[in-house]
Amino acid sequence: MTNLPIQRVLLLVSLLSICAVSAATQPTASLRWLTTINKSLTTDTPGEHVLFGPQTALLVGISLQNFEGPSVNGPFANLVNLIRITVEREGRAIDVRTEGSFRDPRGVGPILNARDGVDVNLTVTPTDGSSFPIGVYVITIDLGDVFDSLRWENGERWTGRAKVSEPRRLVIRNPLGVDEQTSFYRNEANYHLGLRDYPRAVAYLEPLVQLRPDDWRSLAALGEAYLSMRRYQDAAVVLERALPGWMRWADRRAVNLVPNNLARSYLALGRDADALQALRAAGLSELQAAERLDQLRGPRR
Amino acid sequence: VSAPPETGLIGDGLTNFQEFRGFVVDGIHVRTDPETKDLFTSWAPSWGIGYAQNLPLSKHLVRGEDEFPGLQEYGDERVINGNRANFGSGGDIPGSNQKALRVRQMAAYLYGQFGFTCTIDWDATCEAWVPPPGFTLYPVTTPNRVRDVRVWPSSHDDLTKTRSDPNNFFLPDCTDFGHLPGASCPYTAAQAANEVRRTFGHEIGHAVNICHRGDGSCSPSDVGVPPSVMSTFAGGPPSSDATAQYDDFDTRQIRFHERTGP
Repeated sequence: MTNLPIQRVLLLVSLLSICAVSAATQPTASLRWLTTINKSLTTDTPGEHVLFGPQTALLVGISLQNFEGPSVNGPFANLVNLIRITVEREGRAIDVRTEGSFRDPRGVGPILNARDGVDVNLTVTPTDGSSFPIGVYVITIDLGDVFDSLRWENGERWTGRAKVSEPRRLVIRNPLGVDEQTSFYRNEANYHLGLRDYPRAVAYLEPLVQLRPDDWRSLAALGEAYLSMRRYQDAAVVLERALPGWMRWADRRAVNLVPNNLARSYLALGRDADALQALRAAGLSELQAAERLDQLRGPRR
Repeated sequence: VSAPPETGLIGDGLTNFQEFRGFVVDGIHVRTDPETKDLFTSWAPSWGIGYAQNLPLSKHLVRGEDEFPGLQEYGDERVINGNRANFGSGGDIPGSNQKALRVRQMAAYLYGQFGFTCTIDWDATCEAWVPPPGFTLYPVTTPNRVRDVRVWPSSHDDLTKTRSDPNNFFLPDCTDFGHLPGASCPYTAAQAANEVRRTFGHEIGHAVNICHRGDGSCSPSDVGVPPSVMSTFAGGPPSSDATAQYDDFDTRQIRFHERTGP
């Protein structure tokens, strides 16, 4: 397609894709929402996600924002029960059960003010207790009941623009090649790290660092897991390897993480001089390193 | 960028004609003001673009491929001013392609990573984390060089947690991060949410050429310059705090095209 009609086509298609619940009273009101699939990779095909290996559950995130317009009242804490999810595999519907949790870190409560947003994390599993095997799936997320439940502050039904439903294509397959195997291990490891399930994270991180021995990010994550499991010697070994890359390339806001963890490991092993040296290697002065060590030792119980 | 080097250094890479012709933003046709710089970004619910709202630019939150797969409001490669050359009709029309930013709210937790502005210098997936040869540590860049801007809200949860250890080492996790002295530690959930907004603002700031604050990476030097949204962690102040804002030091750096000289 040439560029000539693309903006007009996009305009037309986008307008058609919007289900205007009603534009009569609040033509500028708009709710926008996004679907994410945890542990998945997006592909060059918009709306397509790849998950590696059979899945016991699909982890679906829905983020909803009052993008434009006045405050909206709604049962936001009950969104989990109002979002409809259907799953098909090769055209055949799969009976699924949806459970979830509502996240309200910004304290929205029952009123979604302009620009406020809420997040819902859904776990979708087959009702028969099986898993989602290798295959191509279409998962459709429908928020029609959500929008039906919303009210303006005067009690009238919410009217405005919103996408009501959308399909996502899920390709569940085994990883191909080293890069995909790396992605698989990395995604699974970080998922379990996020849950602070360190033994399961280690189960993915150990093969990951074997696959990518110079990956300072994975080494640092493995060090964190070992440290949390009180495997101090193992932690020190991998954190020593992680330190140079971490100091050079890591997110500047997390730059203290690896030197601190390395120093913690040494302190736990009774190697205080090595702990001091690790902090010095991270660029701290003698005085700063000594102060940091005091911090890391923390209050004795 | 194949554009003439001057394009975008002062303006926003859009010609007056393109601004008059207009754009589609969230399904609505809008014309823009040639007197103000326009930044087009996709949108990352439920955080929007965080404190990038405070950039002194006209922000246009278009529908991107993450929100409306296949129906995004920009053309191939996120070019926002498609058809700018009119297929040669009318002669050599000045101007160049100008891209929108793809701003992504990542679903996953990623250890030690809060945000990342991935440029064309990195591999296509932006996942290998292997810096290219000659890559500089502080990748200030411009929209046309950005693959995407990524923020991991879940990773910010670490700021609210504490670490305990049977050997009596005890330290709140947030002291591992570059928070300012006096900041509460661990963070409250509201403070961590504030940091997510800052991360969006911080990374989008990099995408329009604003450097880090407070670590000596800026040229000219930022030594002695007060904190801003481009600083490292701030400790969760309210949104009215300076660390939610871009100051003059930041806004003077804004560019929409690559630097071609000092």
